[in-house]
Amino acid sequence: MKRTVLAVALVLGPALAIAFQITDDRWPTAAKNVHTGRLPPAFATAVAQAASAWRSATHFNLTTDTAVRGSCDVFNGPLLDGIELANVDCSGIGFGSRVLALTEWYTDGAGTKLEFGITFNSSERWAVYDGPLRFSEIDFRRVALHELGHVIGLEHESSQLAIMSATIGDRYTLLPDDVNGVVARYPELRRVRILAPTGGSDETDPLFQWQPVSGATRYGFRLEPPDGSKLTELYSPAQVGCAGAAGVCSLRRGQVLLPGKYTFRVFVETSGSAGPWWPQSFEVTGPSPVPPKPSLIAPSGTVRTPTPTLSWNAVSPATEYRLELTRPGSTTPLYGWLAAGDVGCGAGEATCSVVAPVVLGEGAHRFRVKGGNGGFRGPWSAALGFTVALRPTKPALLAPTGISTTRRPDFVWTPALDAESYRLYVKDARANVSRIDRSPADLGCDDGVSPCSLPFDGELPNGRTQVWVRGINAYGNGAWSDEVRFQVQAPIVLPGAVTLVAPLADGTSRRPDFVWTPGAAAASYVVRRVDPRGVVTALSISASAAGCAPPDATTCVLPTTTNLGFGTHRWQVRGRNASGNGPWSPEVGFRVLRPPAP
Amino acid sequence: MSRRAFHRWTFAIALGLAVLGASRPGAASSLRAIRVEELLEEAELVFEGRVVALEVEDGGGARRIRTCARFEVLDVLKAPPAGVPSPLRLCFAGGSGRGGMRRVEGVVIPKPGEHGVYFVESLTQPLVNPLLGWDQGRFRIVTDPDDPEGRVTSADGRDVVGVDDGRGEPPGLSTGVAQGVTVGDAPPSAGAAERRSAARRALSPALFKQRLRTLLPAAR
Repeated sequence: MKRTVLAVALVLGPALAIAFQITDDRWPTAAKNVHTGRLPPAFATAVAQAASAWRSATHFNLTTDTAVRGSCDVFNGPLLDGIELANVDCSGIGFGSRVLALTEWYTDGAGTKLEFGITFNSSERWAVYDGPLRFSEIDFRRVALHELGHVIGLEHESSQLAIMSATIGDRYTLLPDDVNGVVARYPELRRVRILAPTGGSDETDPLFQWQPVSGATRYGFRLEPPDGSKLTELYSPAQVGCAGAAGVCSLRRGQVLLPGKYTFRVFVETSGSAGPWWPQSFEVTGPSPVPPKPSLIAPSGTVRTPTPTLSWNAVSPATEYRLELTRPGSTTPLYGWLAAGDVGCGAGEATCSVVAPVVLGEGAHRFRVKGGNGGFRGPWSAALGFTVALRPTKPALLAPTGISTTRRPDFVWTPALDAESYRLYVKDARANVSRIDRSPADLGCDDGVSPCSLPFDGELPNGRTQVWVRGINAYGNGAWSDEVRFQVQAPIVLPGAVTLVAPLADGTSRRPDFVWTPGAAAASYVVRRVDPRGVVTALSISASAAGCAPPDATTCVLPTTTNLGFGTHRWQVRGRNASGNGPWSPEVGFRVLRPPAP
Repeated sequence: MSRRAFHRWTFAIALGLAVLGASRPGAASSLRAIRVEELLEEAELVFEGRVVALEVEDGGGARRIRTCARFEVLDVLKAPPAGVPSPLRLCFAGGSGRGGMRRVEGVVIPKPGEHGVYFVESLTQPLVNPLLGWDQGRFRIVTDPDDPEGRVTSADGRDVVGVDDGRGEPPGLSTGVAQGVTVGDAPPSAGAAERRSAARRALSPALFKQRLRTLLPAAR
């Protein structure tokens, strides 16, 4: 009982001075749900709107649902936290005349509300409207707004304009005194008055300030940057310099904020009960510490070095750059942070550049860059692709083409980039293949510009000839040129007859040189021999191998590399060239004699 | 089972016990305004009396608590043909019961010792508040050593300085004072000097009742 007396004194004293009237009783937390399922839908909606008005104005979490529960259970007694239309109270007792609506609740006797019920007088005519109150039909919503105030814990107010005035009359919205009353009944809902920052400022590490709240045990701090993230922290009053609700709570977080619009919220916790977040918007207008996206310059296209130089436009205020290089066939890029000074743009230069940090192989590469400035990282640039090509480029054969009237044409092609040598591949009409390797210097194209030229030192037979060429360097073979075909249509000149010179007579040498005079136009010779046992061998030797290619040569020689058998040997020779065979020389015999016995 | 058909279990407690927490003056819940003329016409009983005891009825269910005030009847301005019951017992919804307390917003249960003029809506039909128009049908008589005769105040403590029938007042909602009753400007929270000034103009109980008696024939 002593508690009750004290409670009355507290209510009557300060309550009268600060206008709003609050009851001794409150809900355990600043939240309550109201059932409206026993009401016609239009009235249920009106109650939901009234609850929403209280909720949004005071942060008391007054909600509604459409559960079919009225004000009370007349059989068993409990109040059911709902609203209904009737003309008796929850004890079955009549309202009496002139009662529009009645709110009753039940408490534990110690100040905590346990249940409530609201009964609207079903004998009245009800409607839902704004504007002046019509006494022929009472506005259900504003009476609900008023009765819900009783549910929360407010009493009638007579000295201030408020929806909780006994005569709600033409008022149909909540007024400041109503909100103040709720906050007084539920201190945890106390508004935190935010002082700074507000509006726009170029301060990138702003000072957050708010009015201290008496009895605060903790403050919740939340920062909502433009990117939608949320940063929440808790501080004791002492940590923000307002212990004992003295002075101003201040917090400088030591973190640079990016330009943009922010929301900053604070809640106060008193006696372990946290209030709602109170918001304040502000805008940081200062320069961004985040480097913008760089644009890449080079390389692009094809580069012919394994260590190309990568370059991009410098971006302020980057002090370092992160390079990402992706190589062909690798899913793991190379990353690295490079100081701006190390890439040539640490002192305001417009362009940054760096040699590829590794030796690159052939293939498609791409790279991208982003700037960094302390803890701030800018966005990646768009990627720039380039191809590393190290082997010689593909040459193009220029000559001969069409018809060649000479058997020894000059082969001509464009030089290939980075070729250290060339290989010419010739397939003649008889399917004979010639592979000829020459250096650019030998071909007269070591300047990289002049066409490469190779005089063919053999003789091509008449007919279709196919030719390819490619460059070669230390990284490998370049691509073959496209095939070139041409026709050899040279005059047919058969080799002339040859004359055997030696051996023509018997002798004891078992390894005699076979010597004959050159046949006109002969490119090679066939030496046919029959040994004493009748075995025939035919040896082919080019004119140059036989030492009779020069025009002024007088003899051709085929050395014998193995001992001949004793007895009679016969031999003959004829010339050959691309036109065909010359006539056989007459066959000559000689004997290899045993040396006389010593 | 109807709302009226509930089992009552009554117990009494000492004077002053249990209901102080629900005794704060205030206006009614959402009520229409009533004129003095209507008070006089519709009330079954108009009397001057004093609360001598309070009893709490639990009703058998904890949520049916009501508190009944026993009045000493000092004067009767209007009575039903059957006369005034003795003792006069008026019951108000709400009060402290076993394990809890029921409260009906706007129903103010008079304190023991309260002295006033009361308009009773019905002596036979139980009502949430037996006073017609709730606080509009309740006038307190306040005395102090400087004013032994006393003065009449509204239920919320404002001095009554005039009474007429209230005719011509537009329909409205209850302000806690019946239409036709003029109350002093000094609110209950005013300073002592201001209250004394208003009190000099307040109606005495005798004058107040005389005024009501004058209006009573017209109401009939």
